[in-house]
Amino acid sequence: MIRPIRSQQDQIGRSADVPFTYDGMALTGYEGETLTAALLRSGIRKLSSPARGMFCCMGLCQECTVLIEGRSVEACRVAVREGLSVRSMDRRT
Amino acid sequence: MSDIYDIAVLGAGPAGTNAALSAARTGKTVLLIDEQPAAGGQVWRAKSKSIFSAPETPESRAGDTLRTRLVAATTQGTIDHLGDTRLWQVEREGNLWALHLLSDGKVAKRTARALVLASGAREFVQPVPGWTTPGVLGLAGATALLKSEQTPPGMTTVVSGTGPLAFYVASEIRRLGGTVVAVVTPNRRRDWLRALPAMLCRPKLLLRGAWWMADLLLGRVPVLWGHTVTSVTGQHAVSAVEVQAVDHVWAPQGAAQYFRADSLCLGHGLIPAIEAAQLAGAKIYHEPALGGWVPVAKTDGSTDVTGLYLCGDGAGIRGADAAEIQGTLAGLKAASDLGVEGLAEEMRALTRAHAALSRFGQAMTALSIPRSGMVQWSTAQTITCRCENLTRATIEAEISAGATSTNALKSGLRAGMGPCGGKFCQTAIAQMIARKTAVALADIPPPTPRPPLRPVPVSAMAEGFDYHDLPIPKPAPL
Repeated sequence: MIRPIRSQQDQIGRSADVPFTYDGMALTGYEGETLTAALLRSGIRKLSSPARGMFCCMGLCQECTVLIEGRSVEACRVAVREGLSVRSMDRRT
Repeated sequence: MSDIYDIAVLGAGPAGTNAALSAARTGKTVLLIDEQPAAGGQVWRAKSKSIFSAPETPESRAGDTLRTRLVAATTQGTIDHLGDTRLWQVEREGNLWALHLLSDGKVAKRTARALVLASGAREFVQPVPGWTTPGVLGLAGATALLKSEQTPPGMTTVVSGTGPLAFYVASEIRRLGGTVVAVVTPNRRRDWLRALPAMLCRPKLLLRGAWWMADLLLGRVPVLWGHTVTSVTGQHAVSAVEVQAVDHVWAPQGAAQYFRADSLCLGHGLIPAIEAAQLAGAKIYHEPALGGWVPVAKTDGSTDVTGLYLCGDGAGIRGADAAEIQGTLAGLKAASDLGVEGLAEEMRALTRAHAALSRFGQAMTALSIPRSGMVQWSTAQTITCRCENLTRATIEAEISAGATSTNALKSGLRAGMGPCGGKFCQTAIAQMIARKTAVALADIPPPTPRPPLRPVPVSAMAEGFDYHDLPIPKPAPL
């Protein structure tokens, strides 16, 4: 098939994978990548209840809010780092 | 720098960064505040720190140029750039502007003589059944993921929406290794033909669009013109997307077809982010051709409020190129009002350039002007206010009961009072009021803006507070 725009995914240089936890689950993400992207790659789409995930990707909708070190932060505004301990926040239903 | 800045700029996208740069060039002290760690705004969003190298795109190049210029200025000390910092309240303090900021969970205050707001835009997504399902992203939201993480939103994605963004997102998903199952746009080819004259003045962008189209056609990606997504299937993740044709007012008609996909990018145009401008005292008016409710401001950014300047998409959706020019202009205007002389000639030239560039941007905005049939994309049980899980039926019942303003619905149902602060429901709610009460959209303003503009943790407000610091008066003698 002719493709004027080819996939360039293999040309992207990324940082090393580092371990972090999400609700106790051991996951990995590229160091410095946005938490939502790392969760997405681990197959975690639902981030709050009722079933919600990342939506606006720019820190407005608050649907990807998680708890890190007791602080509620938007997962789309957090960078993955080694040993990051993330807890999901059960929303009011 | 001193405690009081000459000029504070909010937003480090194409408009705000250029405003800061042009103001700093005149010798004024400048503070640039931005939510993101690196400048570029959403349109020229920087890659995250996890990306060491990646093929360039016109957007990444434009952003890199902007960031290089900003770094040069911050290194010289002519601009203080506060990244990862949010403005949550703005108010007058005598002749100055007091800016209340939030950064790393702590609040801080800065003051400035003049304030340039380049708050940019956010996205309008017309509610459809299932649009809250994890895996449904905003179309502009998807661009954020694509630009900063170089990652597609899923393995198989349906891309749906109005204007050029749908084609940009589809093309980028394919470039980054994802699969686009279908591109679904309510626009018809004739809507694009109408935009062609304005596009001809930006041949480079026109060519780029043609390249995206060629890629989709040669890649046999179905492009459904005059169609919309009418429903999303899946409990905890997207599994399929329902699509229907639309008529000239974008009301769905005919048989539905289904696409299997694990993700959906959905967006129906950009809306100026006007809340900060409103808090600062700017008046607003309704102009669908500029994205809906727009603050009143001149091309040079000046407003009816002394010392307040507005530029970029936050002052009306005209696109990144026009935003750069208007930002530069607004920075100069703010400096000139603070007494800098000899800028008039340059400002006149910028005003002319802005007119030409906004023509392209506005032609793109026109493709996303909401049409009356969009209300029918949702059903009675479709969630309209995502934060409070309010369905269309609940909101319509409240309207029938007499809540005929956005403020009344906010008080009565909390529609617009949740964590997002009404950023994702107000356009749809205004449409419902308009339809139920036969009032023009121009007569249904958004709710009164209130601080905080962004969520502020109570711990930040009460920082340093200790229970033992509470002043307890001595008990009165018995």
